[in-house]
Amino acid sequence: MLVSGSLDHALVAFEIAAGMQAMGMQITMWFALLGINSIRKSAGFPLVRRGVPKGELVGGAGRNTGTDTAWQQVLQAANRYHSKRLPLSRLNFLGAGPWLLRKIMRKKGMAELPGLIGSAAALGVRFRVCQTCVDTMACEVSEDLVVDVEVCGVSRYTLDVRDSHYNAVI
Amino acid sequence: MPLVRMAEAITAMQPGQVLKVTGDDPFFESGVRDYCLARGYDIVGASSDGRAITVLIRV
Repeated sequence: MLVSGSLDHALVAFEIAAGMQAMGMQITMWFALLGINSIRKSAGFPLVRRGVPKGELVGGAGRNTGTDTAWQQVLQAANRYHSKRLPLSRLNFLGAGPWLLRKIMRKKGMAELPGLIGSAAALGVRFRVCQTCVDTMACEVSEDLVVDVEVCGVSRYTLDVRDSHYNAVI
Repeated sequence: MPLVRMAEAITAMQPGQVLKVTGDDPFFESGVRDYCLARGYDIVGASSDGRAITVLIRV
């Protein structure tokens, strides 16, 4: 379960997931809160991609558009991070930290986050996102994310955790 | 990423074939050995030439 929207945390989560899947374990990755940023596409311009008129049913999986509010658009406009642009949890320095880290990782021949996400998906890692987070952040999972995901709730997470040998919340 | 690269290569192989993997990471050989232990593959041979480490795996 990835709840952090930081580049360092996302790298750890995807590195472990792709590696363990390659070793022969079936991995399910969960995304909640700002963790969803790590698999988001760039929203581009304008800052808020779509206005959702209250009560109109344009929501995809996991969305309850009847209770949408304009504050969600404020949240979207403030949360501009996506898979190619995530901040570091420490030493961010307004984006200089991630830039430096990427430079080092490229020199070392390591896979960057978008590449790791692609490898994890190709190896068969399952992706699941929290339904309440999708609804709160007005995220359209079929359009806004770089991988195919299932929208699930705590009940599914409980079964996943109960049936697994290893669970990390990052 | 040796684990991911190996897993990708092995999906395209038949049982009995031999995969030759080369890397320059200090932990490369131990990584390959752990991988083979987990997946049940045999290591046929291993050699190092300067920084390049080569391991042969029977799938």
